Amino acid sequence: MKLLVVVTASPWGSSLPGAALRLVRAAKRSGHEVPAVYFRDDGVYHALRGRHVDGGQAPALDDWLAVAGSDTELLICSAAAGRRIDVTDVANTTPALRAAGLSRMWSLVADCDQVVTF
Amino acid sequence: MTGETVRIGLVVRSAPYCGRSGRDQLDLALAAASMGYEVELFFTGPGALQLLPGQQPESAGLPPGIRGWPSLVELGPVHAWVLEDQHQELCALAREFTLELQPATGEMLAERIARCDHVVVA
Repeated sequence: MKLLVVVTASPWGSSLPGAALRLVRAAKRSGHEVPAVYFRDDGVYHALRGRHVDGGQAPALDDWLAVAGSDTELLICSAAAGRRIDVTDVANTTPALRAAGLSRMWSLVADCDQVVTF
Repeated sequence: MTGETVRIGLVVRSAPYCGRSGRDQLDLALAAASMGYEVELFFTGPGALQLLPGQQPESAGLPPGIRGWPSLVELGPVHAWVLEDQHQELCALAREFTLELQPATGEMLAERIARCDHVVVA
């Protein structure tokens, strides 16, 4: 099964991104394909890397980079990101994250069997 | 399936003034409509309040994004639905809405959602 995961919640405002991360890990472990995780709305804050990390917890971005590997794209909504963060900074510091428009998201939706939004 | 129009369902849940952006859900719908998809909008909870006319988000320091909903119909087929109970409550607030909003029973909504090729929660 091909699964698209959409994350709209910010890393600090909700526990939903953690659930999304666990879903992607479990789906890939079970042999399902996750072509992309699309971050939109406040979900684009996952692209930011803070200076401080709570003990025993990796930065959210690092968790996503690890679970994405080489076969899952990490896409951030260019419109939402443009309103919230400096997208150029993100592209320069984390090449694995790519800005993508909503039309790209809809193309992925049409191509996948299931879409799960967190 | 070749040549058949793709039908996209979008569930809109957010109230009009719950955030700075004001148009994230609208942008999703506009992108889908501009790609030639048939768009079914399902307004749930406070989401339908986005379609009340005469709102002035600028007076609350918010962008006027919600006024863009009417432009959807210029891009292609759009159907907007809300539960019939809520439709009655909304009709007490306004005679018409910025987008034609159709009342539906729970069963009708479930049927319309099932007809969509893909459904995304905005």
